[in-house]
Amino acid sequence: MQILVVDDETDVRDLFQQRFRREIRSGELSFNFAFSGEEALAYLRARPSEVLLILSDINMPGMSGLELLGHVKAEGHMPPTTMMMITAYGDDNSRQEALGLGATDFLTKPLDFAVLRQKLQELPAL
Amino acid sequence: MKTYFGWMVLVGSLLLAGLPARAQHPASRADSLQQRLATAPPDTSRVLLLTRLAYELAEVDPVASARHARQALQLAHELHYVRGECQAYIRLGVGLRNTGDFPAAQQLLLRGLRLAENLHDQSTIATVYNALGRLNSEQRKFRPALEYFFRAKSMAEKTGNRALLTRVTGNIGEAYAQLGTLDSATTYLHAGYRLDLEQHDEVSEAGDLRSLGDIAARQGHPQQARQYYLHSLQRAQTVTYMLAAVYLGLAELARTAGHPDSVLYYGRRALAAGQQHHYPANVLDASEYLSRAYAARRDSAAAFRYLALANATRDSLYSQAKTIQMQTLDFSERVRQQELADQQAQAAARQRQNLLLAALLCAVPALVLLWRYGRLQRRSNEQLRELNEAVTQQKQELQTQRDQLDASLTGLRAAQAQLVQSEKMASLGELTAGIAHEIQNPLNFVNNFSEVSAELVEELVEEQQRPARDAGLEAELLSDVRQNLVKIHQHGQRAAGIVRGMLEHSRTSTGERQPTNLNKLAEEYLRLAYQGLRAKDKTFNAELRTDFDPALPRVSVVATELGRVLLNLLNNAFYAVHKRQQQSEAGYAPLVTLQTRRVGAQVEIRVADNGTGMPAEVQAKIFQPFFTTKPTGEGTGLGLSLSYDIISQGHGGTLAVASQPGQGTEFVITLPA
Repeated sequence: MQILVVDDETDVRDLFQQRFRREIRSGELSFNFAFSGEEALAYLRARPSEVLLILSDINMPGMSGLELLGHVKAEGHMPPTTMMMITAYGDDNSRQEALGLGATDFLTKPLDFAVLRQKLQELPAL
Repeated sequence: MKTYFGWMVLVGSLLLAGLPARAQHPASRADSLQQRLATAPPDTSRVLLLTRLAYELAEVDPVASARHARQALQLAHELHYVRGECQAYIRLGVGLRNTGDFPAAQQLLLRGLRLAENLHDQSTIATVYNALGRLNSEQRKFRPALEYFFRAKSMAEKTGNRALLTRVTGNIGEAYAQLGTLDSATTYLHAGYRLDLEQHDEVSEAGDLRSLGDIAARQGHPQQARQYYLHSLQRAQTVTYMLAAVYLGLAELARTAGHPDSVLYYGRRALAAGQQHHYPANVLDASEYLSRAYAARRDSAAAFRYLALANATRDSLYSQAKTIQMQTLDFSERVRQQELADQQAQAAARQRQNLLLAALLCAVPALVLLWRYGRLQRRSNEQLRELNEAVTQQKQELQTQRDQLDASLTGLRAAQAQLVQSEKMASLGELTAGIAHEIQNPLNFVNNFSEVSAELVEELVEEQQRPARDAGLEAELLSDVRQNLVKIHQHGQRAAGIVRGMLEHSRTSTGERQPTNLNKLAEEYLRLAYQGLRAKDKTFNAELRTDFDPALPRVSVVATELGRVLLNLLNNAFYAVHKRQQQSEAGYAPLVTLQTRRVGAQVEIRVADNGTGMPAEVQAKIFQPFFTTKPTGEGTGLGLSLSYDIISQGHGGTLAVASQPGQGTEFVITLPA
């Protein structure tokens, strides 16, 4: 399964690659990384239908995670993709807004990787 | 009346005969006390010696007298010697009275009185009453003075204190003379004079002779008055306190006799005596007298000069500020303060005198005109008095206004300091939200990388125990762990840096400039400002564009101060783009740009936004304190004004603004590289 992780912190890449090293080694999961909403959108447009899951931070300079979500949902030519939003602000408003925009799940920082792994295994598309 | 007169002549001849026989005068008694003092150990007897010396010198050298009294007081304090303390208070009170510090004198005398009462020392209580009486007559309050004198007299009689009885009898006579009750005055002065001779009290003798002279003059016996004055003068060569009064008496005789030049001569002698021996009350009397004398001669310039001196002296004698100041200070502090206050009062008096002189000289032409038409000396005197009053009143008004202005200024300064602090706290509040977010990310990384490293090590151990070890995997795991340790360290440092920055921001700046990488500083505050705003309003976002000159030299700045300026400018930029964003303009993309570059010998930091912009009238005011376009409660109106001060005064740079309504705003900080 192709997963696109979007976060403005570049160290997220090393962290995900190590946390999911077994899944990556076995070929279960494949991660790609984008460091801004704009970069993520360009990546998605270049590779329609490859990515099945987007994990995006909300608070990023420039295009925010929610805007990215809006774009992804609006551009109908892309297949429906699962979107999980990650934010440091676990308030209810953000959650409602994200879910209203069509996000599948809403996670708060600090990310619990055990929980995330569980959620990924339970995804129907897997 | 006739009998009186004959008796007076008799006394006159008595005193002439008695003069050469008198050997013990206060100065010589003081000399022998000085000698004893030189060898006296610092015990209670030394305290008493000092107070005796102060007593002897009170009317001879008031400054030295006060000095000895202070020493006595200090030593008595140290020894917890209440009796000595009591005497010292009284001596110091008398000393200060003679040097013209009436409020302090009163306070000290009352303190001495309380101690004497506690000690049930009737003789000393009587002494304080006499001193308080003199304090009142110095201030021309003769009725209360008489009350004190009579109390002192009755106690002195009961306790058999003839030295005090001598003084107080003459004092009563003088007070009656001043009140114009000449019969009673004469009776007491003659009684006093007899006691003076009996007690060999030259101080009292000089005073009583002078008062007798005054009475003779008022009764129309100038020859007799002159004789009294001249005899008093002989005593007054050592009892300096009486010099001015005697000279003024002689001046008045000369005036009555129609010798105007002698009037001025004696008047000036009186003034010189008061000044030379530090008796401000005498200086006041003499300068007022001289002013009147010159006015009578229609010499306006000289009259004004002495009037100015009189006013300045009166101020230093009766200044209200002085009274309040003395009341609020406790004694040990006061000894020091007194000296300071005296110096300041002198300086202030000089300054006031100069100002007054200038003001008065401006008024001279008008008065010369007035006097040209004035026929009567009486009338010119009256005008002079009125002018004097007007000037005094005006001066009081000015003083009051100045005091009020001083008070408002102090209040304003306090308010300003408070506002500056609250502006600082407000920006700290903005920062805190940004910081909380900023600090969470590195902390998450520290936690995550350490957790995952533990897993990697676990896997490595497992791998080593397997029969077929994968050397490539082991190397990869090890390399990951090593890399993670570096990352943990980096993110730990990052968190520490943020905390340090926050502490620096809240701390009062030490104002120390240090060579600083402005690109790094700008980037740091850009993040803080942006995250701070995001924390407050989650719907907000903007594109941040940075354009940093990699060749920027390090610039010597106070990093926290410049950081505050950047934070302020960035907050305003975000505020402006956010406002424009809320106007739901089609195709609007909020953009904030931060640029650094070197321009010749200067370094520029530009903060630009494509927000709402400002009209010219707003631009003109933005650096003024308290000007804000934000709703009440959102801004202190001090941010830009403080920023301006920090850049221009703190760093010798400039802060400029360019703005177009509907286009955006750009602030340019220019600093010397």
